[in-house]
Parts: sequence; structure tokens; C-alpha cells
Amino acid sequence: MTPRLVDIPALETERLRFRAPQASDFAVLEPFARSDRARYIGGGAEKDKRHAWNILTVLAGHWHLRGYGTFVAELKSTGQPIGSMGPWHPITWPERELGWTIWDASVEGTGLAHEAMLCLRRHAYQDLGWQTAVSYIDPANARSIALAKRLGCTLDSDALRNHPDNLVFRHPSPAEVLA
Amino acid sequence: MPAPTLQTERLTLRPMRAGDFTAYAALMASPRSAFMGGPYDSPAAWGLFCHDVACWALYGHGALMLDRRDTGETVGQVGLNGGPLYPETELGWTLYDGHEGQGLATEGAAALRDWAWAALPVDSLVSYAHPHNHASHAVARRLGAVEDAVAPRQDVEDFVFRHHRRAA
Repeated sequence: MTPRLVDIPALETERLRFRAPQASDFAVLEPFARSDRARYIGGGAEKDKRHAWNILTVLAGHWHLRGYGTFVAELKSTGQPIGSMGPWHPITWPERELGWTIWDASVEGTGLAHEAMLCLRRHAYQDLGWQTAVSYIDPANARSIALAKRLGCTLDSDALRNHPDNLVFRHPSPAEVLA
Repeated sequence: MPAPTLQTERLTLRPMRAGDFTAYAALMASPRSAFMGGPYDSPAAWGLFCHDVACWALYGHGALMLDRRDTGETVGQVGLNGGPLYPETELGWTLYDGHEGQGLATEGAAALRDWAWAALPVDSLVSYAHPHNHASHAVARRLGAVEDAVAPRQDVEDFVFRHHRRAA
């Protein structure tokens, strides 16, 4: 049967609430995807509306196809969506990934991505039963590399990758995270 | 709205699943996708595939796969497309190689069109077709759609066929 987005688990942290992607997210996602800040995930100022829309439909479609997926995080205080993050596995990628993308530049440096990923990694291990997880990161994306290290990830040079230039960071095991 | 399952004389229209991707990606990599802006590599095909599914979550309408009732074989797809890339809601259809010429696209598209009249607040739908895609033009005409020369379109060269809601 087709999973339904209404079945998305209700997860939250101190400052964030996680929910399904929705059409209105495009108003926040599009300016990000078509900006230089998106260069590490294939975006950029030269990209068109189609490119940005493709990101949102891939996030939303994945939930139906896999039964789990990337959440949109919104600030509990204002309801503002600030980015997409969580467990997913695009079919052309070698293994399942824990990803994070902060759309809203104004919240960078506030620890929200770290707060989110601690919760969503636990979700992947505890609720989805993942035995391992990686994060694919552009080698020039110093901010994401710093977060991966803060999350206890280690560079896995032997792992297959989703793009030849990306680094693969492997997360601590379920036993270490759920202890 | 979750994707429905619909039945016609020869077809079951059913929700898409991840296992459909292999055949879908093969179509999108083949010359048959030229009228859809292809060919597309596998990651690009995944984007299109997810779009077809995601429309259900984002808009309450989207694509369904066509399975032959007698053999169970998946023969193609029909879809109701929307979002910021489409000027209005589009009814689209595509058949996998070897299943043309039997009226299956018309049969499947008619069922999804009739579902749209019952479920969606629209008075008409459009179908965009490449000017050289004569097989698709014929399907549109068999469905009773008429060419709309003034409808907005993404590609100025596309033909636009308009389906009008009719009293039952």
C-alpha cells in the first residue's frame, strides 16, 4: 500500500517541530535553492524554478515510495520552516543517508541543525531500525563537515558515494547512539 | 489525499511504488522520452518519478501506473500534474514500449479524467503535447479534448488540448 504523509511520526526537539514537506515550503526553499548558499547540494544562482521544484518533489515523493523520508523542520516559536533534514535514500544512491540542509541563512550558527540531527538520527536507528548511516558532504562545505564531526561521524574513505567528489562521513553505530 | 486505485475494462490504475522505477527510468533514458524533454539520466528520472508521486501529497492529485488486468503487466502511466511549473492542471499519459496501438492510453486517461471531474474543483484540464507527437494528439482527440491555441504553456511550441467537464 502507499504510505500516506499523514502517517509521518510526530517528532520534535526543544526548538523544532518536524513535519511532512508541503507545497507552501516552496516559498522558502526556492530562494535558497537558487542562491549561492545551495552550491554544495547542486544549487546556485544560475538554477531555475524547475531545479528548485525538483528538490521539493523529491523530498515529498520519497515519503510515499519508501515510507520514511526527509522532514521539514519548523521553528516552534514562529512556525517558520528553516530547512529539510533526516533519513532518506534516493534510489540512485549507494546507501541510506542522514541529510541536513538549512534553507534559512538567519538561523545558521544557532545549533539548530545539531539539535535536529541528534533527534533524527535516533529516529533512524530506533524507529526505522537502521544499522548504520552516512552523510555525503561536499569537501568545500566546511560548515557541514564541522557538524558531522560534532555528531561523532568519521570519514569513511572506502564507502561508495553518491557523487564522486563528495566525502562520506559515517555516523556512530546504533549501540553508541542509543546507549 | 492518498492515491486511489481505479478499474477500467482492461486496466487497473494503481498508486506508484519504488519497484516501478526500473522500467520508468528505462523509458526516460530511451528515445521514447524525446517528446517529454528527454532522454534523462537516472538521477533526473528519479526526480521526475518523485514528482509524479509527490503531487498526491502536495496537491491531492498525481500519477497512477497502468497494469493490464489480464496479465498484471505494467504498461504505462497516466497522471494529473500540477505545481509552479504548470500553468494549470495537466492530464498526461505515457505507454511503455510495445503497448501502443491498443487504446490503452485513452482508456487509462479517460478513467483518471473522470476521477478528476468527481474529485477536483476544476472545470477543465489541459494536455500538453509536443507538436510532432501525433500519437498523443490522437489520444487527446479520442478523449474529446479540443486544441486550445491561446492557453498558456511552458514551451511555446507545445500543442495544448483542453478537456471540458461535461454534465453526466
